[in-house]
Amino acid sequence: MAEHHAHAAAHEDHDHKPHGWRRWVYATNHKDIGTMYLVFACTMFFVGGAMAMVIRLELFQPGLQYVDPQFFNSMTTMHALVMIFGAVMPGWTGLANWMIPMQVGAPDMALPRLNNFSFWILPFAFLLLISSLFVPGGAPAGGWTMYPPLVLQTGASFPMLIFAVHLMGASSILGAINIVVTIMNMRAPGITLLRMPLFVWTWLITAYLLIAVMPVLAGAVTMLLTDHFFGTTFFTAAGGGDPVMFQHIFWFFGHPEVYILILPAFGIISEIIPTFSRKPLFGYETMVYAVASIAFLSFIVWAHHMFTVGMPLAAQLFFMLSTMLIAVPTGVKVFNWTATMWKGSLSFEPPMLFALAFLFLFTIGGFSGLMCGIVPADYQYQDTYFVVAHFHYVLVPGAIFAMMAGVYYWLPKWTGRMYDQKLATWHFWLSAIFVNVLFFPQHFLGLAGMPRRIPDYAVQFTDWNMVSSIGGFGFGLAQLLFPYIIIKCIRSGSPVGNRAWEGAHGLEWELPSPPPYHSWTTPPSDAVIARGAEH
Amino acid sequence: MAGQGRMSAAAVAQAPVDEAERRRRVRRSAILFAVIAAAFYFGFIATMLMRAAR
Repeated sequence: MAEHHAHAAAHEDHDHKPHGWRRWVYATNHKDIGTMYLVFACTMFFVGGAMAMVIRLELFQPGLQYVDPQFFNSMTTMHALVMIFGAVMPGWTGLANWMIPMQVGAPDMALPRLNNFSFWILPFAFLLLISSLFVPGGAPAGGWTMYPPLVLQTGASFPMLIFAVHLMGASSILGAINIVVTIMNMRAPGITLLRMPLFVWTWLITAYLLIAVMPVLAGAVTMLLTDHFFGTTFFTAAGGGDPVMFQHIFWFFGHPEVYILILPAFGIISEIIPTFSRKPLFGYETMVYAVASIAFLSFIVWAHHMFTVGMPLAAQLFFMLSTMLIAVPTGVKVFNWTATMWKGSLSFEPPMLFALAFLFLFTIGGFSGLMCGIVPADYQYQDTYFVVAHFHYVLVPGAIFAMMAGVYYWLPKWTGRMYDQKLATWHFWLSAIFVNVLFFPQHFLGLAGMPRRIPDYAVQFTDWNMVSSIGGFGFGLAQLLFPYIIIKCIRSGSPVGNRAWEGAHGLEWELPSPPPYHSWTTPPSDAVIARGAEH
Repeated sequence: MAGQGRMSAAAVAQAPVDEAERRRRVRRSAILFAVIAAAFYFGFIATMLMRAAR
């Protein structure tokens, strides 16, 4: 521990943090920016969640009760945009900002001012997007996929949508560049690529995906903009354009985007399961190769989102088979997580509970994804609630649970205090039960033929919609515990040592809790690296 | 962080990177990735324009 104490003492002299609003507006410190990203993501999670409550309230029974159909469609569109671009992606970036420099032994991100800029673009993007609710014609209502020609009928909010998407894209690209550059150039000597924690690996691959596909989305929406305002006909059949081409371009972005949302989750689960199994991760290198394979395959499966547009049989077969292939590396990951727990000394603290729920429920979402990937079956599932159930299983008990697991795992490190684990366990069980009550019946609704994105439905769908809505309200209420637990922890949690979890390994656990404002200003010594890496 | 069990002590003790060289590398790789992002953005629009011109 001597090296560590010497290291901590060396930091004290550098621990001058700015105070007041300047600390946040001019922030260049990775921890401050990480905190801002996480607070922003949490806020957007509740904004998007409120929209989901409106959707579930309207769908509680058949008929039109509370909102008109246009507003309902705006809610489904905005809920998706806010959750994807406002909650999940900034949430991962927040965790990346906090953890990557600490895990690779770097003092900060490679480009701190760019980091500040990446973050501060976001509040303006979402202010613009959310304020579109108040313009004539209302917020965008054509779905988050922005398919033309429908989206071209959007009213005054159309340019706001396009500009907001551009800003979100710019923020993501800049953030991704920063992460790649940090990981490639700022690792402490001795932290070779195959010694990096899985969270860093998954983020490195995610960042490459972001750099490759966010500009594609930006290009697509730029063409929508010129179609709308400048008389081009990229996607207008009347002028020789091709609306289906937009779908191809959109999903060339959209499918890797799905993995952008989930790969960091794989990294977090790969950190948590070994810690609470008190065993090394089974098959570290195969995990890295599996993530890389998933990322590669994500570029060649896009058209499985659009089997019903009418495409050649050969194309359908190619995209079906390439989609099936993704099950192989994903299966490797699930096997490795399970094998890590095999004969481990397991304990079930809140991060582990969320990680285990991820393992079970994400797998359900993966299986229903395979079902959707089978061409003839997809002809039945397309645009039904089955698809809604599938991607919500992947994103809620998948991405969101993993993010909560990550926050519960590293919160003691960030704050130097342990949160109320009993309350967090309540949070887990309420979330795990209600998320299934919310989304599992949607499989039945979809298989019975209930279409998605509608405010009204045939009466035979009533019972399961009521169950789903009750699950939704329960899940929404349970999430209020999350910020309460965090605030309570910051204010009155009991102090923890460097290694908040007995089985935790990694460089971040070699730093004090909370870590100094500037960590690893001198690279960790070989002994610290070896101890942090020991498994 | 597995896989490290096989790392030799020599591999752990790498020489520290020169700070000026690191800055150069950071700048160079940031510009490279920005160019890649811009190429994807303009590339897709250009592809569409060429397709329309056919």
